Amino acid sequence: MSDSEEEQVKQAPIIKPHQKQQKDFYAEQLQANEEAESQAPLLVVVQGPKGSGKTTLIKSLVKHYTGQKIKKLVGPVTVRSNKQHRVTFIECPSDINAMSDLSKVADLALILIDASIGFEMETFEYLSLLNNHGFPNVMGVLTHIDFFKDNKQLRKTRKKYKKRFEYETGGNYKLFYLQALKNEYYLKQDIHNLARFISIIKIAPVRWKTEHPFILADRYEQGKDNTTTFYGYVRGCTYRLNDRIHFVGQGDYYIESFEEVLDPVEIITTQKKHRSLKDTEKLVYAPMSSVGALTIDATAGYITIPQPIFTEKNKFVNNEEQDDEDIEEQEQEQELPEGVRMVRELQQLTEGIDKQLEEEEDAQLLEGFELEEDQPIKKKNNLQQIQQQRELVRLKNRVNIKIENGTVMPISDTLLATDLHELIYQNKNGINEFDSVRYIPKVQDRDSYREIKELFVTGFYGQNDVVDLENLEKQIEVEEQEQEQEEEQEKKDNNQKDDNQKQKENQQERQQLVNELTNSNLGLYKKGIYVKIVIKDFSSSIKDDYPMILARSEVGEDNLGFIKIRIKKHRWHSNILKSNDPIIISLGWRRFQTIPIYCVQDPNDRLRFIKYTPEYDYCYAIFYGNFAPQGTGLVCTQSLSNKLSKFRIAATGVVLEMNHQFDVMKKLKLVGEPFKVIKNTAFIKGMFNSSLEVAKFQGGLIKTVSGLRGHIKKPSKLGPDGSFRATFEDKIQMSDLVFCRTWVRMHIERFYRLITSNVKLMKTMWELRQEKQIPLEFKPESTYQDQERVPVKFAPLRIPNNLQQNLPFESKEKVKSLSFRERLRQQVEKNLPVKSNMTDKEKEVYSLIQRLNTIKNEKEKKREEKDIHKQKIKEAQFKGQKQHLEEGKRKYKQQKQKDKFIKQVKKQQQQQ
Amino acid sequence: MISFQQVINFREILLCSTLSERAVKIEFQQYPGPHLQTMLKLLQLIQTGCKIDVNTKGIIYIPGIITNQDGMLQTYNCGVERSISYYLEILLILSLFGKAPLNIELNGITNDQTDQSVDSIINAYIPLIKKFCPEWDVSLKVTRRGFLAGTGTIILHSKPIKQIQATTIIERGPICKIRGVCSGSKVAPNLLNRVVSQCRNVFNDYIPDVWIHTDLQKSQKGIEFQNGYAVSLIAESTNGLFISCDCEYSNDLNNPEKVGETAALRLLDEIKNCGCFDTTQQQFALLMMAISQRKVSQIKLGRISTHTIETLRIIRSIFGVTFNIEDSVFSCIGCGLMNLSRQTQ
Repeated sequence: MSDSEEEQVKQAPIIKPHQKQQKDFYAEQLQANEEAESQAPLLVVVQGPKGSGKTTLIKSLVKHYTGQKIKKLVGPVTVRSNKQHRVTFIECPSDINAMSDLSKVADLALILIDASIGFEMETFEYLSLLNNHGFPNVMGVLTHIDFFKDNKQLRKTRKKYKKRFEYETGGNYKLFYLQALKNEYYLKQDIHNLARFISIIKIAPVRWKTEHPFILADRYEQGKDNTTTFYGYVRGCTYRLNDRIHFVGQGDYYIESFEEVLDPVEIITTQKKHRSLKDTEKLVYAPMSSVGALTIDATAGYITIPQPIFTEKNKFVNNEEQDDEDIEEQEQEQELPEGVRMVRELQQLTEGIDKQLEEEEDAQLLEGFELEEDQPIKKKNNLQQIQQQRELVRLKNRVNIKIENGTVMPISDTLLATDLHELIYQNKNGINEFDSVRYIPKVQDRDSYREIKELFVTGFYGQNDVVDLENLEKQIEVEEQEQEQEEEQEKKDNNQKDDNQKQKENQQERQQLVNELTNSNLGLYKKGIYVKIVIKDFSSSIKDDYPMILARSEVGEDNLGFIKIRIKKHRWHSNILKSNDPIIISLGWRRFQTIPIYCVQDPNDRLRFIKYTPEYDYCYAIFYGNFAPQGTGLVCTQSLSNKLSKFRIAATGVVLEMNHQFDVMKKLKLVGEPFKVIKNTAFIKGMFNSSLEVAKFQGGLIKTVSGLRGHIKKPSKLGPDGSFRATFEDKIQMSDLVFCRTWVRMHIERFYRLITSNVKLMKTMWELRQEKQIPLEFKPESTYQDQERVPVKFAPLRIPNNLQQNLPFESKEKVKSLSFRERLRQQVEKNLPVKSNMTDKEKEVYSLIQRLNTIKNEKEKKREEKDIHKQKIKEAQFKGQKQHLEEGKRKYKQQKQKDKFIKQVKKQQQQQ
Repeated sequence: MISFQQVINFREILLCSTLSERAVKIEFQQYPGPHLQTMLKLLQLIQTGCKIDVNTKGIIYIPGIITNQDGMLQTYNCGVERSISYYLEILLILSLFGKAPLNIELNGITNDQTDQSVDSIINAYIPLIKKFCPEWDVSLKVTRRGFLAGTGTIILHSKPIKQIQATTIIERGPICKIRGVCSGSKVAPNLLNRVVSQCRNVFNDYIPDVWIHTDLQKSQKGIEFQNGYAVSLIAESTNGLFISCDCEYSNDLNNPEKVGETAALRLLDEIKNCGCFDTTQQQFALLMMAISQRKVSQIKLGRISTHTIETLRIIRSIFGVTFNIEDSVFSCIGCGLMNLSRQTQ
């Protein structure tokens, strides 16, 4: 059993807690999304490196959906893909700022890959941006396939790219292949397939977007009185009106006005038999790019261009058939819808529309749309009607309300909404008199409360009561019968209504509630509503090809403070990051430059400062910046330059914690040396500079190099100022060093700079060094050097006689050590001549052997000398040969150079 | 910075400001008294990075992050100007949005005539907050009673939560239980029993399930207790909602029978006139709705106190949440306040 269990454990995929959270979140959100009635247009971001065919793809898609040709593509383009569904396309510039902004808002990212080049750096950068800002749906599109003429090679490359794309996205995301261009557009069949996938896609909800409403502005107008107006759909989630708005990449601004205007690409709600769109219903809304030549009016400019109807009337008319055609045209014109006729009139205009409008008091243009497009006007009427109805209700139900005894008591039982609403929100006078929530009811007679007896559970309830046994049995019987009846009823109910139906009803109820709230002018704007925002004093300039994202500044999230994040250097970034070096962080809606410090967490929860990020591991970083909810992903870059010399994303991370102070500690070892040692006490100097400092560290733990522990006791008057008395667990050596281990709090810079279009960034250390030609700091002390170690001479161990006598036998010296006098006597005895015991014959033999040995030694000495002499001669000869050879070479070279010189001189002479 | 003029209930403004982390500027109608300082010091105790500029005319308050001193046990003296529950009412909500659990011992008055009693907070106010955050882990204990002289002590442990849930509470259901605490110090034990029996006498006409505890403060060495007694009654409905009311001994209500009867009648009055939450607690329910997640919350209320109206205005100007009121049903979509000071790993 145990083995199989282990196997199971091994096989089971590791689900990290945050992944599980995300999964639960997805399930919840998918349900919630189904509830939501109205949807904002699907936001499709088209991203790819330069020359990969982004613009062509958008143009082709727009042509597919509407039959319209876009001449110049600028800003977002919204098209109606079917009756209930709208799609906004936006092209992503290859600028890192725009890429990170668009990765936060995309519902679907179309990632274009040039097949002739392969995956480029931007693609990887964009994918890792998407990964960290919440991963939306992704679709890969392989273009420039016609580069491969060979079919086999094409198949191979396709397979290779598909594999790589799946690996990078980590899921079953599709990779499309677009064949060659035809008349500057992609092939019809390819685009048809792609469009179909776009329209049936189920949007993966991204947590950031479901909690942060935003508006991607379609167009903007700069007014005369320093006001700027933006138009766009509310996306993400329900927008609650606020006084401030954050323009991503520009800063925070106060809202002058915020109102719902006519939707240019409305959802068609009228039920008709035909599911497909009529030609007149096909819409493209691209106010910043040039589609046709239609004007935009003050409240709701949009373009409806059913193509054939809007052509100028004399364009296709041949001269020969002019007369007949004219008559026909006139007849047709009468039948034509009013909107078309009006557009034709507009085309023939010589005067500006402004002037015409000035002449006519009522804007005829609006009426013109009424016939062709019923819905917008209806909607506007609806808004007005709702307001009128509300006022009517208010007038009808106006009932006096008494303000008495610190409470508002309605006279009638049902409290009237409108009046109370007015009292609360429109009256500005303070009506409260005392700062206490406690309400003391004014008590009436005891008898006057008889009527509320029905508000109580009377009879049998609760177990504290004493009940007769007979009654109890009867009651139990009755209860059982009731239960049976109830069960039967429930079964019947279940048969009648399926669970699904119940759920649907519940959803509908909830949806109704949301609708009621959003329609009741409480400053709530549903997702998918087209709004107009007026901002005053909008100073910075707008680039047209940059996305204009207006985000609601959420409660608490525009505050500044210290943020702790878990960070990891990106594995493709070439260098590690340095503490106290400025870095650009894209967190939440904002991008800013800040100065982080990096740290790791010790086992005792201390945050320890580290100089550099680890190369392959996570660490923490703390910096001063905008608050964002825990779990929000962030991306760091070191510069904003668009030179693709290296991978631009330096690190990625996740927000963990926010606070107004963090204690990041750095280790500091204080070193001192003893100048007097008395048994276990030692006097130590050099660790502190004054006795005051010592006083602060009294009782502190110190340690010698060899590991003897001790305490700081008191400042001492001996030695230099700052020396102190310390005690150790044993006697320390004079040669020992004493350490005191301390921790210093690191200062975290309060540096925060929002990245706007004209921001001046702080330079990193490396950039400064490059600019000012400052070499890296070199400390000779910090380098490793060879240590000369003098062997220590220890004095011999001496045990006093007294002690030795008292020692047990085991520890006693077995070989007696001698005293000085005894040793002296021994030496003298050693040097005394030894009396020989040899006989005369033996003496003779011995002397002979000695003499023979002397002769032998002499011979060997001479031979050695000879050998050395011979070797010297040999070496000298060899050296001489070498010298000779080198001299020869040198001479040869000189000769050659001379020849060359002579030749050159001759040449020059000839030339002259 | 949001500015408020002619302010009386500065406490709600400070509470909303701390929750939303938005700076506020308050101008008083008149200087509230020394309890202002007690309140501000308490706020500073549980926060870091909080900046306060105060004088007799107004306050400039820049909130910080609620750290609760990293969960260390704090002791704080609430003084004798206002009772402990005056501070507890906002402290409990703030502790939901802290970094670490709040462990605090508060000294002061447990029962007085201006604020609701600590028993009502335990039995009605905490269940109210639990309706909006069911996973909340909290314990609140009265270790010593204190009347007027401020010798009472309570100990509070509260753990932070992630987010408040949207809740719909429309039906109260019939009242099924009546519970209560009758507390006193330095009085004859018999006195409390007389209060209880008089309460029972009133409720006997309505419901048999009445259970009122008596809690007599025993004398302790070194502490001089003020004499007094009070009763706090709770009515529980079948849907798990609680309605509370308090009554104390005072010059007008100077005998136990009077106190008992008044308390019981006040509870009946509340049951008659209030909706799902009693008039004292209603504004906190509305505040919880306003800061809950981005979904529709609904509650049904009866009479509205003037204090609630002021609170609703404060909620609108700080959180931007406006309530829709129809047939005394208050509904709104929460602003989705997250606990930004929470620690994650």
